[in-house]
Amino acid sequence: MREKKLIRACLKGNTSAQRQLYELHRTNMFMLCLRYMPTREDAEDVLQEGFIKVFRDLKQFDRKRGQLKTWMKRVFINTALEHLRSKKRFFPTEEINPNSELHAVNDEAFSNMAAKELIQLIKRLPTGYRLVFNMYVIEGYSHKEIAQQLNVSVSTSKSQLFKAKAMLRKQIKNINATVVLNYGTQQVQ
Amino acid sequence: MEPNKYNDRLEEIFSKRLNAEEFESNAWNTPPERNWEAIEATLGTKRRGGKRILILLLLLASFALMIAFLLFGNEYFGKGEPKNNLSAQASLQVTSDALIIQEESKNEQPTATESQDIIEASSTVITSNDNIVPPTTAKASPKPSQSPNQRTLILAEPESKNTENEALTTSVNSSSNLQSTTETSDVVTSMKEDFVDAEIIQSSYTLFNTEQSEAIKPPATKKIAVQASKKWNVEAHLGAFSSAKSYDIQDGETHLDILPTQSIDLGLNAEYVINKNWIIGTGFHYLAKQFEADYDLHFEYAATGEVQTQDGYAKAYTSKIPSLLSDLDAEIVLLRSEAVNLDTGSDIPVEVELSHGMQFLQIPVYVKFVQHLNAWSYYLKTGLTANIVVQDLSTSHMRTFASHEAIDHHSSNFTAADTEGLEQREVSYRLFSAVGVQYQLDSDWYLFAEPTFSAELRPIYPNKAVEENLLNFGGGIGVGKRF
Repeated sequence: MREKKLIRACLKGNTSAQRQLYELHRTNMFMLCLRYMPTREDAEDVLQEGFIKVFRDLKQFDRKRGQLKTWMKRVFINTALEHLRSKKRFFPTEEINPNSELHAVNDEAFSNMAAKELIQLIKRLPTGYRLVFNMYVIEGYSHKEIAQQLNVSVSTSKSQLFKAKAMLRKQIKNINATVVLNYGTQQVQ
Repeated sequence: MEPNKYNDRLEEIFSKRLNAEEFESNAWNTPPERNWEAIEATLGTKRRGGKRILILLLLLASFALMIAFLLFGNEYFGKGEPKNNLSAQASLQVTSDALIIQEESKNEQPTATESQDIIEASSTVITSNDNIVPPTTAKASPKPSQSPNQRTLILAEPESKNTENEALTTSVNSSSNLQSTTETSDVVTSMKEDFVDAEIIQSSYTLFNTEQSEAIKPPATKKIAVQASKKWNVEAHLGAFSSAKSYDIQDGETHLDILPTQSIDLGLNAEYVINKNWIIGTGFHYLAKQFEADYDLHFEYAATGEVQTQDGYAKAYTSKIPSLLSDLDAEIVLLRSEAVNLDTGSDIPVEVELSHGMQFLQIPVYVKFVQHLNAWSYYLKTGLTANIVVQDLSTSHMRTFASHEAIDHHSSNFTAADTEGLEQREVSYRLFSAVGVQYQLDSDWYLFAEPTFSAELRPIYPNKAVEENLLNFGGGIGVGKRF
């Protein structure tokens, strides 16, 4: 069924069409939720809330203004942010010294990682870093938009992104070190 | 959301890898089935589907019941009973209406006027025919072969002069009355089985059946059909419906181009005949309305109140958009880029395409006043209808010229719940009146057509002004059957 027909059927409350739309987008949207939420359970909750909002507000979607997937992403991001706000997991208060987070890592190290591993790295970031990194790098929001969405200043958004990337590099460095160590151990054995 | 320019290789890798169009579904990125079940349960789709099926079944059952009545109803109303059991038939068929025929004239055949008087004296008159049948010289009795569908009372010329001065008063109030009358006087009373027609023939009159009248053709005999006690009508109704109103939209001159409402009204009515003029009834109707409209709205540009957003400068305008039963309270946000400068007072046209569909279940209760003119009758009907919204869905698209972008937000009472369809079950009441014309195909079947005017007692959505879009015009045709 073409997307337009599918949307029309969903608007009429057709359960089968709703199921099809869910099947079509569940993986992408669940991966988005996994990136934003700290635990898998939280991601499932957001996925559920997000799809309910999508079906309820589908009539507000205007095809002339963009793709359904893009609109859905916005819905899910907003849902995730609301969820985090409700659980008071929004921005961390702790400040991490950027200098201590700088790690000289060849970014190509990330290119060998699968999507699952990249998401696992993102999930390990503190909430504030994770949100800014997701919104800026993956979703393509500007710092201005992020600042408005998260109710912070543009400079805060920029610094959070910087710190997020520093932390990711630190993580990959640790992983590489672990691999090397393991490899070395195996060699020894 | 376009990807930002990558500041470094890390951003590029994460963006490209996690923005892939398709991901292979694996256990780690596939949500459990219980998620869908929870979504479905929350949306109420299962319940909604079930209710729809139930409604459909109810409609089908109603139609099936009506068809069953039409096909087999006669059997249950005594069509198969023996014709010679007059008292039994009378007890079944003659209920409350008394037919009194007084003939005081001498050597005079009943005139058309007298016949009409008789008709009016009886409870309900269905026949149509004032044919003059010639008097007979032989007394005839009802034939078993008489067509069951024939429900005419044939009053023949007095057979002999002995009865000329005899006043005939036949009162049929009960089976006992009927029996005694039949026994003690020389009156032949025949209650014709299921058709509820009282046939009362004075001894000096001769009852003819169709074949006899064809054969003998006695001159100057009245042929009058009287329906004495058919008490029930069942009607199937097919109709259309439309709303009308004038409208002014705030914030500038407005031109409205409202397209006609497409609607269909399917229903069944059951009516009880109180007497020949008065009928009460109720029914079960399904009404679907689809409304399509193009609106050209005009707003006056005012820089004051603009808010700077991530997309540019925005100012919200509010407007009412006429739609079915009530109006959509729309908030129209006009966005302009920073590069666009407009003079205060500039006209900003906004085009709105609106589609609004509603489905109702309706239960009318009404009273009907009928006047009979032979095969034709006309009636006035008035009553109250309970409207239950079972689905309400509206979609709209707004656009304006290039320097602006229009974003609409429906903020009316039925925005968020629209796509929920059955979630909204407001009940409203509508007063209606109709003038109808009815044509008798035969004594059982009739066709009718009725234009209807109705007005809402209260809008379907609360907190709405009563005068908004509440006058409705409709009409329908239908077929009915008497039992």
